[in-house]
Amino acid sequence: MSDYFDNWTVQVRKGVLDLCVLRALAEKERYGYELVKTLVDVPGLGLTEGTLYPLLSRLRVQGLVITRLEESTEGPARKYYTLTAEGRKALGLMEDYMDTLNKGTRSLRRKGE
Amino acid sequence: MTTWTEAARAELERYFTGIRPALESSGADANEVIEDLRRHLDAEVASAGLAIVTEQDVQRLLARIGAPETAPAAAHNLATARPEHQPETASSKSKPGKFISGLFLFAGVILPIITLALELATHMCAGAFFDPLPTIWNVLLVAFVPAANLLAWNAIQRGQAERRSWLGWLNGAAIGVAGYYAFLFLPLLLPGIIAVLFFGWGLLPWSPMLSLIAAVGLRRQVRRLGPSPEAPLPGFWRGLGLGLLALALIEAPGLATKIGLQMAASDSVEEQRAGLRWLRLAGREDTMRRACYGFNRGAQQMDIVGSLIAGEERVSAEKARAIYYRVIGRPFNSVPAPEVRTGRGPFADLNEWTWDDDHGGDKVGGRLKGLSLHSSRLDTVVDAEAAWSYTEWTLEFKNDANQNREARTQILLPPGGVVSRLTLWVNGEEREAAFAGRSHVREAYQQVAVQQRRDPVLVTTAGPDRVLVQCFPVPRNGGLMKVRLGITAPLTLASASEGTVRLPCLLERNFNIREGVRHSVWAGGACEIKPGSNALTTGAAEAGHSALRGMLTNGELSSPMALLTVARDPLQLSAWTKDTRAAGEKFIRQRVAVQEPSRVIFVMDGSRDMAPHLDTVADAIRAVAASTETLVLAASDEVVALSGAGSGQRGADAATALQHLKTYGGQDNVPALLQAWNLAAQKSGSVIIWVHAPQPVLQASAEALTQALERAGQGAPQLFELQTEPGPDRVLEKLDGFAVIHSVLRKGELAQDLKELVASWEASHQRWSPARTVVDSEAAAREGGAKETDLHLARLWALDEVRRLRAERKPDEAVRLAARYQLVTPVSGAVVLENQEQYRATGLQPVDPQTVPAIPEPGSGALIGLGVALLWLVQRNRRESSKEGCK
Repeated sequence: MSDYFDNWTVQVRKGVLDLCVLRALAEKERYGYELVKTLVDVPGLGLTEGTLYPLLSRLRVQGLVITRLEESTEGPARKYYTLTAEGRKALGLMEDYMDTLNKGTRSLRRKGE
Repeated sequence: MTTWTEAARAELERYFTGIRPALESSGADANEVIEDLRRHLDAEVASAGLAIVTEQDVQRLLARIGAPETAPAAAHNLATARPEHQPETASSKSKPGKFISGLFLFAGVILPIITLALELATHMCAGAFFDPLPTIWNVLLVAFVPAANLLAWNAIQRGQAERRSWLGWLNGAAIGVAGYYAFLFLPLLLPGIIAVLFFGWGLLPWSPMLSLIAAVGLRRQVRRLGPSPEAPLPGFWRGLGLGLLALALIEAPGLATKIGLQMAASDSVEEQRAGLRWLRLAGREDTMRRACYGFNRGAQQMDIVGSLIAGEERVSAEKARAIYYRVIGRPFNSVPAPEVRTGRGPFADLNEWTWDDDHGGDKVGGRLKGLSLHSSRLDTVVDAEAAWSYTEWTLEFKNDANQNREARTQILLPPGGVVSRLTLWVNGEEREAAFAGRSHVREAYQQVAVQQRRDPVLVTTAGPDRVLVQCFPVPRNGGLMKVRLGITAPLTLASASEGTVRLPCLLERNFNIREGVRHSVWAGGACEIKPGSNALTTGAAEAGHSALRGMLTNGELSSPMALLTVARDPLQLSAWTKDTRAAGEKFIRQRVAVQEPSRVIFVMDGSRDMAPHLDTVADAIRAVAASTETLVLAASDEVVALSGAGSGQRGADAATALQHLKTYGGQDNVPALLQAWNLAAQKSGSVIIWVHAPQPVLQASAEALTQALERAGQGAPQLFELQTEPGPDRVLEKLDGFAVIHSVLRKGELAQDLKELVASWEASHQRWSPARTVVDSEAAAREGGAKETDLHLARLWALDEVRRLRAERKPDEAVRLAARYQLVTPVSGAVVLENQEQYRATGLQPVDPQTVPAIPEPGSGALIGLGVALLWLVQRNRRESSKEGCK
């Protein structure tokens, strides 16, 4: 049963990871390291750097985010990520879908109870 | 300032090299991600305040970062997300393009359906190459392939992932069936391509192969309906196995039959028996019957795999016919020829059995399609007091085939009967036969019918009371051929006041009798005649005469319904006639005799069709055994002696044993008959009763039996044969011409006929013995008030004489006598040729039409006296001329 649940959480996390990244960027422009530190604290998301950077790269390729480099006095140069208009549109669609899905699952839960 | 050791750098590069393929396949920019990670590690190192970064530090940091996860591609297609916000399904990513879908639909569904429909409608492949759809099961299995492909195609179009599992099974089975047919059609693929190139069509032979390719392609698409492209689709091997199993079940009986046929045709006795057992258990009748007609092209079923397994060795038609009888217990030609599936157009000629292997031979052979009995007429006159009948049977054959055919039939004559006239209509004129030695007339027939392919008809004997009639050609395309046989026969007398006439009937034939064709029967005479059936009714007749007429089916003609009961004067126990064919003044008389056997040996045929008669024969054995020494032999795979010699209880025990006899297939009766003969010969006055089904195949040589009969001498056993139903008998054919063989008249039920036979040996019953003697003076002939009768009496006497001369090994004298009395006997035959030139060329002379027996037209009594007077004058003149010629 434990294996089954683990596999299920992996699938759920994969599904909502993009949403979480887009939401974090919708608030403000963030650089990679900062994003990691922000999202690592989200309970249940289980994000690692190995997952985040490929995802950010794909979002950029898809045109949902844009990047810019900025030198830092505290260490290496920082790469900032900013949401594009298309990214905001995609985020809106994802939010709507999640709301619908949550409503649906909640209604099932009530019936089940 | 931070310093990285060489080992640390190497470890980091190894890590990047390892993750690069995964990054590239995930849709991310691999170089960008690696740069990001490098930057992130630098930030971590700076944050941790490390001055020197070692290999262990790198490993620790990388362990926390973890391997890069590759998110599903679907998550990154949100930019083009649908308005309904529906999550993307697996089907949408596995669905092929429209062109590919169309190809799958055409190759996997539409083309196979068109091919199947065309083959069913035209039998194109069956006519040209082999029959791919010999049974309804083959049709259903072939139709299964496009059905399974259509279901798979539909599920892919609709993204019905929930149907994946059972579609996997169906698809596996479809691949199995399509693969089998693709293999069968492999040799036709190249001609198919050539046909497409040159004629623009010819895809049909490719249909199985294309549907196989489509089924494989559809399977890949169905698999992608799953949660991931790599998820396996169940049911391939099991479905494939099910498809092949279904094919095996359809093909197995035919294949098993062919193997059984080869075993049964083996030279090894053990293998023969094993083959027969196998065929009786699992043989397919249809396959065996096809083998009886030889393996010409139109007759073959789809047999490529069978040939691969069983080899190309074929059992000859002759052997197959013998095996068929031994397995089924009936002659192969007692049922219509098997259906032949052929094509149209240039293959239309194959729509029937094209090759008649028995043409001109002495066997009836298989049924020929297109050849049928067009009309049949039997006219019978009876002289009750003189105890003879004369029947003229006119047969007309029709041939609807597109090539000339030879009609052949074996006819069962009335007991003790003989063919005394043969007529053929040539261009509307009657031509009478030449009577001569058997080999002479057959040679003439062969020369004219087979080599010159002109118009002859031949009649020869084929056993006691049996003749073979063959005529050629029955003209093609609806042509007719008409022949007439005259048959003289003694009456069978149950008592002095009652006799029986049995009309001749067809025992075996190579032509068909269409529904509605009846035998038209007329019988008349100066006596009361009662019919055996309501189908015959009283007709108009002169004063003092009676007549019957009506129509009988072929089945009725060979049944007791065709028996005519004749009332006679019980005081008139003798008859005489002046023998006008004899040199000098000679007269023929008949006499009455009583016979009682000393020992009775029953020979029971152990064939399958005898099973219903075991109880009946057992009752007869008990009746005989009550007063007479009785033995019982059964002809099974081996001769089984059911009792030792004895009467009373021993006979009853034998009867009980007979009731438990196991019957199967068709059995060889010759060994049992020979053993019975040897037992009967030990005691003078013995009688053998042989109760048997038709024997369409002579399974072993009958030479030892015929030798025993030839050397029998005085006081030889008498053999009475009772055949349970009409049909050919190859054993009796070999016993042709022996006076000790008697066919028992079948009047009705076997029990009644056996009872009458047994009763005829009792002293209280007088049996009219058809013994005829020659006397030198009319006064001696007339003695006792004997009735004067027709020359038929002399013909019957001549038949006895021919048998006697043959037994005394005087064949030339026998042939001369038979020819003089114009009789078809074991030593002589009758042939009608088309013209005088043919007669001259073959050294034959047709009989004078004035000398043949005839039946006067009813109601022409006034002409009869004049005709008889003229005939007498002609005969006298001819005799005198003959005498001068002899001198």
